[in-house]
Amino acid sequence: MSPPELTGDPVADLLVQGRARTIEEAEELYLDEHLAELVPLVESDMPDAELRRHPLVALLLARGSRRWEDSLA
Amino acid sequence: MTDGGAEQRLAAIYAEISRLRLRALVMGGHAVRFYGVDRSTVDFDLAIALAAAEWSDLPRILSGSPLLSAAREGPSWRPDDFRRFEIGSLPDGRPERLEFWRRNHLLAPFSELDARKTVGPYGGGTVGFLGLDDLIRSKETEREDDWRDVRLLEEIADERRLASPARGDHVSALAAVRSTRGFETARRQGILASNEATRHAAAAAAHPVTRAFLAPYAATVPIPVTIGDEGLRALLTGVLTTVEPGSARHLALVEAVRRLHQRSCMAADRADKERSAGMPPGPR
Repeated sequence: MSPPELTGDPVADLLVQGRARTIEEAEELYLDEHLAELVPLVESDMPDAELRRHPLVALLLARGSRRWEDSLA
Repeated sequence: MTDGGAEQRLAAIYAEISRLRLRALVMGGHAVRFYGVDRSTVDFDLAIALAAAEWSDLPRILSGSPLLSAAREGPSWRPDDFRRFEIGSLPDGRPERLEFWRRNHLLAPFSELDARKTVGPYGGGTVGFLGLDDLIRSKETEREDDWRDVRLLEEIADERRLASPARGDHVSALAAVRSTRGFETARRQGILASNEATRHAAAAAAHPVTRAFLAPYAATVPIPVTIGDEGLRALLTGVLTTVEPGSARHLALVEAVRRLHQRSCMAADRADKERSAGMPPGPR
């Protein structure tokens, strides 16, 4: 059997690889495995707006405490 | 049972507990509802003030109540501190449970809880609840569901403290900020523009998430975060003082600290349950 085709989305890939059963589980696993990468990311010269779109940062913010703007969506 | 029906039932049970001369405060899902979170709950959870002898006698005390005389005791993993009774059946057939905590490893003794309680109208009666900060603490367990409550209750607590802080009270409001909405409100109110207030608040703040919010404003105040991997912790606390307040960098670091804090609390709660159950420590 050929290996599953990856999607390029790190969270979706955890599902494709069978390492997580649900999206929630995959997101938690991704954050657990990649949290240590946050500090070098924060210390990089990446613009703040771009950093906000990075999967690790985007997921941390999405699963964390809500901003006021979130309630307007 | 509708949510309104469950509230009325809780009010009736609380009145009956009081009639039995038992001192108790509501915690759990009904307390979460009381403070404004719209969520369903079927269990009735009470913190109760009872000496050891009365605690042993609790089934007999309940049997003297027309409302609770059918209470049937269920298993408990820490019978000296926690007891659970089935007091009826829900419309869907599940048991209706009344649970008592005499001691809770996350909470202060009852006398302190009682001093911080909130009494208010609920389900057509007047009910005493754990104070909001105590309720949040009681939810720092190994259960993911409890952390959803924590997030929402933290927003409510911040909103209350920041709604109209009295002059000079900005420091205590800031020193307790735990939600991103609370942090944004404080920024909007201009409270964080005061170097003196932020420095004093950072020094007074006890919670790692509060410290993470205030770190960029008070670089000279150390952030003794006692959670997570040592290397990551050192990096986080170091870099937190260097970021632009309110930036994506800052908020992402705050959420990393929040995550480490949550994981640390979950592990501590799990270890406590294992100790109580006489199990060897370790992941399950």
